[in-house]
Amino acid sequence: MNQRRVWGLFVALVLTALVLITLDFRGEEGQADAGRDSVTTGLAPFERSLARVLAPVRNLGDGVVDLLATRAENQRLRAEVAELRERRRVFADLEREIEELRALLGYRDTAELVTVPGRVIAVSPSNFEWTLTIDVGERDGVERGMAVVAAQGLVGRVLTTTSTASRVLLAVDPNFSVAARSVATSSLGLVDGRGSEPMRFGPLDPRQPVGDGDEIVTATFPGSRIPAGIPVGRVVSEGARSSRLVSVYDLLPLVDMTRLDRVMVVIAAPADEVPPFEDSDALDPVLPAPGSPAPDEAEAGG
Amino acid sequence: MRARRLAVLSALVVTLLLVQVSVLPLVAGGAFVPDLLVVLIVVLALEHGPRTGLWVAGVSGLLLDLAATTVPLGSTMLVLVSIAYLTGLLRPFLLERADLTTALLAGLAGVLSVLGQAALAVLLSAQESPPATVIAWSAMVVGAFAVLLAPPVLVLVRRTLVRPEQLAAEVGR
Repeated sequence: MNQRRVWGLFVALVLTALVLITLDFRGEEGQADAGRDSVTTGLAPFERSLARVLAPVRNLGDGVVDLLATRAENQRLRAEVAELRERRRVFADLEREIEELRALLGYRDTAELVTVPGRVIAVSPSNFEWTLTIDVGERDGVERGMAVVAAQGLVGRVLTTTSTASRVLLAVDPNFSVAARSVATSSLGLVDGRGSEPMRFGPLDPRQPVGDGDEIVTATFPGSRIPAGIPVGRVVSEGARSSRLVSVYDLLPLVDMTRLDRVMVVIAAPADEVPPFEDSDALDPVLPAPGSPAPDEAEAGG
Repeated sequence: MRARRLAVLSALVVTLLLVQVSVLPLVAGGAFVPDLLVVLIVVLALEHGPRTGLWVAGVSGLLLDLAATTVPLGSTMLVLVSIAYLTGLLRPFLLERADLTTALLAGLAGVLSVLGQAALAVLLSAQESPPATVIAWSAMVVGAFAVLLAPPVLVLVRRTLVRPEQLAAEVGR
């Protein structure tokens, strides 16, 4: 009997719940909303009071949770800072490289040179030899004797090549010399490397004046593969020694040979185009008509 | 005597309902909220019989539905009533209603409550169903909370409510 009453109550409550669900779903929300509003209104004061009472407890709990979270966050942020510092260092390096490459490209475009870009992969291990190794070689079209330049000017010339790398003799090496001229006076001469000492410029004509700060650029010379017009250095008059027969000037290289990273090998330089000779066939000769006087005679007669 | 029992029972339901809707969400801090009323229903169904459990389940379920805004009206009621009935069915088979058994049944009811409400949400498409992993976690946590909450609720019910058997005995006297 009791079991049947329980069953009956259960069925009645389930049916009530199902009716409520159906009514709620059919959108007949007037009653439901009214009921919900009443409950919300009735609960609101209690909720407010309890929230006020429980605020310190909750804040304490939040504080503990925050403390734990802060520790974890602190560790995460430290790791992030370390990573960002490393990335900033890499970015600084990349920025420097981009600047260098931009300068190189700008120089190449200005000088209208055909070049192969290369990266310095090794420097000379000896204290008496000023060379470096770059990562481009015969496979890239690099040949012995070609000029190697940086954005500021001449770096040196290719000494030896392999298929994938080349060794470059720096312009400051004592074995390096190149034909050059002063931009200001156009006086031709020879630039010699002197290792750790300033380079030397000796004009062919000792009477030609070369002033302090004059820029010296390369000049064409038979057999040399270094194109003309590449800046080499600036004259420093303090080291000048002149006589009636010979004069030499100290020259500071424009390129900082100790900080080279990206360079270009000059594969070809633009040669001044020789204008084509006029085609004789294309000329329209004005020949004197038979029996008419020669031009000279006509002028004399006229 | 009967009226007094009804008044105490109502006060108990309303108090635990207030704790359920006002305190526990604050204490839980946005995580899984313990289901105190499920524990109360299981305790009442075991200690005071399925009828008491069913009545309390019906009323408190309806009030919880009214207190909520997104849950379809009647859905929590349906789940709680079913739990009360199932607990009542088990009652005769529990020869010794040990506290541990009550706590474990409350835990199981907590799990069933979460799963039942999730199933109803899916069936009724009332709201976007949470992922299965969230439902599983929620069921486990609510179940564990129910096991922990069962002893104090049990003590509270035993201290405040007169058992129907006692009531019948006193009425008979």
